[in-house]
Amino acid sequence: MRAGRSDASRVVITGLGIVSSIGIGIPDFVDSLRSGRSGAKPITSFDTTGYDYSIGCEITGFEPGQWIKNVPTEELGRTSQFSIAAARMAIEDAGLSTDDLRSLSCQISIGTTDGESKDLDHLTETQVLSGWEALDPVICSRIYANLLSVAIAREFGLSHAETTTIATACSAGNYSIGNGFDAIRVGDTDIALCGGADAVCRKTFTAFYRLGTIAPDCCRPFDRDRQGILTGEGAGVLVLESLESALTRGATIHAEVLGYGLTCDAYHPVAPEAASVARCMDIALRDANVKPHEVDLISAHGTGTKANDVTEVRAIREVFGDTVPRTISLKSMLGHTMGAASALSAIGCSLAITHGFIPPTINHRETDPECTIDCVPNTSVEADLRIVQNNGLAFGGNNAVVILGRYDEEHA
Amino acid sequence: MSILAIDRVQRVNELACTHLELDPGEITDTALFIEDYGVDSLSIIDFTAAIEKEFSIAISREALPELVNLAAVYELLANSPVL
Repeated sequence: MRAGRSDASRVVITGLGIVSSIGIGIPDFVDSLRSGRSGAKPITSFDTTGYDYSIGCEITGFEPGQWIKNVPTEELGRTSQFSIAAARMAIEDAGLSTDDLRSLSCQISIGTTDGESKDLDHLTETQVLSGWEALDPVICSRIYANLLSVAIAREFGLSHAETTTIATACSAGNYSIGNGFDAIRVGDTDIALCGGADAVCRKTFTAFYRLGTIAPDCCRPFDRDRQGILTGEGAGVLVLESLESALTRGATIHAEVLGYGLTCDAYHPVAPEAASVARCMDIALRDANVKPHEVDLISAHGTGTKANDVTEVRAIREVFGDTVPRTISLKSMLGHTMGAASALSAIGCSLAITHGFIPPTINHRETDPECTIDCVPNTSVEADLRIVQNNGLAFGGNNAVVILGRYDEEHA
Repeated sequence: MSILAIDRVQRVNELACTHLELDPGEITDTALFIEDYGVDSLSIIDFTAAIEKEFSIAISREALPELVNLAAVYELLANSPVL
């Protein structure tokens, strides 16, 4: 089916690591996706006095010590902790030992919106209330965005790994997957650990609040009454390797990465532009050698803001014409996990393919006539999925779309 | 309806010129920010945040779309209790 591509240049997903408000690890996450679980609850990680409403999708009960064995946890901000935890889960899921990883070349790409902004919030508050002298040097030393990817190399002793933190915000997870995908298909690396991570911070909540894009109750993508996002947190990491490598070592293959596309609108700081979004989908489909009518499902960026959903559906209609597939938003369940969003969605797409179901868009009451789409409202459905598209559209017009395909051994 | 004091009118004008990137000479009370001056929605949020801070008032999310020109801002201020 994938004519013209050798096993060495085909890229497959062999490990998944998930830290999310609806489940840590694959079994809990799959269960939540199937049952349409919501991660929404009142925010507790910062003082919410003064805000008219403050619901978010925080992660409770995350134990750093359960996942982080080598790097002292006080040297890691919350986002880096999530990043390592998801990486560890993905590596174990892939059946790779630390010795294996150290003997192979590795590319580590982690995408983010805020990096360690939760720590920056804290430092800012300290400085305002108590002055520069009161800043904690331990916190100051762990705020650098590059640590999100370096921390993984540190934890597993991967002294030869190439580490990259990609800061294209809410589509950065897809950028990282594309980065890992490229590195493997051109033979630059044996293993790519790629994904995204972010932690809830007051700064981001306030910025979205100021823009009038925080929902007072829940996230309702494509709904007539949608009011905006709920800020969330977490990390998603995927292990990518060549098909040849996976088959040689007998790894379990979750799905295949068929291709991806990137565009930048160069239009507006925060408003998306439909033509550029459509062009990004075109580029991804062409890279994957997939025709629009072959796509069985789209995992939308689907933030649940007025602007995004109508623009994204317009772009989808432009590309897919009469063959618009079912289009869901996992943000209805996860909230907007920022840099982790498109990584967690890509993982959701991969699991949907393997387990044969479409996760629902929850909180749906009435589809907005301005963005009519079959969003699989409220209840998951069984589905035979062969090709799934994952959209990531970020502020700054940074768009990244990834195409995943089911790997069928008998048709390989 | 109360009338806004002249010094506050002047201050609102200054803030409008700074945050909406307009010349003092070109701005009028009735011209529309978006339709007539091509002001960006993000700049309006910036401007209203500055108004809130300068005059110690809170502008509700519902009131924002009604602030279409300077006259609307004067009226809002004249009728807003100080926090």
